[in-house]
Amino acid sequence: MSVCVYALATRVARRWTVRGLAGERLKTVRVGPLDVIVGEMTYRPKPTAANLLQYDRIVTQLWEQSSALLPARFGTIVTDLSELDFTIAMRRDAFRRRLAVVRNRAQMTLLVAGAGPVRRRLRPRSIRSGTEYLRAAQAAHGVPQFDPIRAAVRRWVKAERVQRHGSLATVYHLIPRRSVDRYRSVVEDAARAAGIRLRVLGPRSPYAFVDE
Amino acid sequence: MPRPARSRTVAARVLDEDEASLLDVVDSALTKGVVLRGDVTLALAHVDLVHVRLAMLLCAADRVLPQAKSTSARRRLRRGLRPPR
Repeated sequence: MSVCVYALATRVARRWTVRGLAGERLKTVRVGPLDVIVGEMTYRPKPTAANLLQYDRIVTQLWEQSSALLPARFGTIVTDLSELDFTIAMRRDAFRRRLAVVRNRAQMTLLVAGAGPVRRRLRPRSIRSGTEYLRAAQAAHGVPQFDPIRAAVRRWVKAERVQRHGSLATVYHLIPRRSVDRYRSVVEDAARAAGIRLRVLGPRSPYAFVDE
Repeated sequence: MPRPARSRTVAARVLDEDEASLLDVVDSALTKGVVLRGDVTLALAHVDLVHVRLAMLLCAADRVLPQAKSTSARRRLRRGLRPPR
């Protein structure tokens, strides 16, 4: 029997009605001030599309029932609860800080087309300090045409992550849960005004914001 | 009429299709989220002997495998062959 970890949350006094990947009843394991939501399984789940979608549905339901939740990566399995206690306890303070950041907030995902190629090589001769290097690296991975949209939604965005995949950029925003509809409408209006092709996905649990 | 760049076409296709949300789910669940790891030091008579790093991680292959230099190198890697020097 192994233990599948679904998420970390702040203390919640509730019994979960959601069932796990194997149909198992989910339970809460307390590790200091944190609740770890787990299910006992007799096998390791395979990363198939069906399992990933089901996993996301489970995590989404847990997130909807909690004010602060950090989703675990699919396939996080520990052999027993003492191992879980050990691994969580080591990063307890970091998890508490992240839970404070994501409390009552949702992740929105923006897929932005036409971001242009990433400049992988920075010119070392023109860079004289670490700060200059980091600024150049940030600029190389930035999405300049996204700036008007960023400015339009700045009031809601607590944190931002950007990933580039060729000419497609993914921008993750952490925003208040209650502002999702307004945020979506402002993004779509700003994109239309700026002539940018994008797609807004979410709200979802803050997968992209679990690390500091 | 100029032909659009291939990468731009792929990006446009991702935006247009319903699979965009599936891609988001796969990307999130496999490459993001909390990863649990721990460190154990095995000691004997107050002397640290072995340091073990525990990591429980399942993620997309391109996150953990070294980046191949070219398409042909990636193809060779997929077939289990060594990339050319």
